[in-house]
Amino acid sequence: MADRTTTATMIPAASSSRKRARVPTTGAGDGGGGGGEGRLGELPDELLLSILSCLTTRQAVQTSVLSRRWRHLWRSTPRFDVDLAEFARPPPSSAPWLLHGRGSTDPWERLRRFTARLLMSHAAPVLGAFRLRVATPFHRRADVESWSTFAGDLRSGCPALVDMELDRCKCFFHELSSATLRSLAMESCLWMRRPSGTNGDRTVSVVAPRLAYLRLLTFGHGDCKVFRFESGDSISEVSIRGGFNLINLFRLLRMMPNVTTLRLSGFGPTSKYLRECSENFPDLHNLTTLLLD
Amino acid sequence: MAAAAAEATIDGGGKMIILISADGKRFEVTEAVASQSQLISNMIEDDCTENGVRLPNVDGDILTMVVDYCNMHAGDAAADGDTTKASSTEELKKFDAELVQALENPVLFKLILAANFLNIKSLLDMTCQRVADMMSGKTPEQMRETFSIENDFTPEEEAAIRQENAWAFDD
Repeated sequence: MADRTTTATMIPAASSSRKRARVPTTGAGDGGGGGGEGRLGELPDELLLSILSCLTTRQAVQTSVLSRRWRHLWRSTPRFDVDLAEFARPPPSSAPWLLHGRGSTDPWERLRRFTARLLMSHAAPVLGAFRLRVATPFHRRADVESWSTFAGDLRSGCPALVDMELDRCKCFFHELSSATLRSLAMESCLWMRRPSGTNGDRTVSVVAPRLAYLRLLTFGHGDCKVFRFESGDSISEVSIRGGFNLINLFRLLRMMPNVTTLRLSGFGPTSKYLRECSENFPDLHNLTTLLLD
Repeated sequence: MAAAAAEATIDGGGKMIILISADGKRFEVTEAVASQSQLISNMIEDDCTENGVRLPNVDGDILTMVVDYCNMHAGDAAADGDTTKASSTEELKKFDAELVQALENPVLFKLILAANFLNIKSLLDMTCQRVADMMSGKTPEQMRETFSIENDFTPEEEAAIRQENAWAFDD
């Protein structure tokens, strides 16, 4: 495992920049930087990794062929961003090396293979964020099943994860536990029932004692019923959107008594709910901001 | 820049700080503006800005941009009270977009180094994002060309790596 302790090396101050153009923004088309200074390669690894972190993971891996310096750099990227859309395209005709492919053209299959390899090849000591973007209808057999192991096993698999976002995933896991997770966003996910023996229970228990921020964009009425936050005291900011049932919503909110900022949207006709709201709204003593829209 | 600073003690009661670039240019800015740099903010706390802050890693050209950026964004961090000073979000976005898009690569990379050294997170994020945007959607060949990256692999080595990482190109 790469324990890199790159120190930020600056370009030496004296390095001849005095004679360079005073107005740096002239469009003189010196795109590559020409001389021995002002190249991307002069940035320390730490900064190249910051740049790689802004790319999708697939593209970050592709930088491995740029040069020797880049070969293993991507492995230490502290963030994953995997986007199904990138796997939906047919291989570009300008890329002849792709022809060897035992190629499946099914984007899901390709994404699955990609992530399997990714998890094997990645070597960052700390994975700060993982983003899986799946912009297709989730009725499509989403192979998020393999993620169930991943998500349920965050504690050992991703011991430093702070930010997790699930967007339109079909989720097969029933426990999500992480000692480090601070931000959790789940949008329009489909929660599958337990396979057997538990009467189709589909409760998902979340054990994340550091969790501060929760964003939940629900899909069905039952969604709020799904979650059980075992250590919701830490949660301070919650945003929930969707066609929810107030009883379930309030039940959910009671699990996070220290919320300071609560944003609820996607209510039906408000008047119908207002009375019930005011009567049964859970005691959130620390609430300073309540947004309803 | 320095000129704007002349009477600046009026707003926010800010003390002025002198920043000195590698090539000896001096910039007078308010503490509020300068402390967007975590490095300088720490120095202010430690009371060691009295004789000006020397930045031997940052050229005057680059520091000009950094100071412009910090002046523009001072409203973000400064007290909410002073609404006249704070630039609108819209304005800021436009300013930021124009700033990074106009830069040639060498200047962009120096700005990244300066933002990193001075520890100005928003500027660092924005400039790194700009480089990523320039890489995005490009083939490795196009990336090498855009950023003058010398391919020091032998053709055999390169082929081997493509093979090894075929799962990221296509599988």
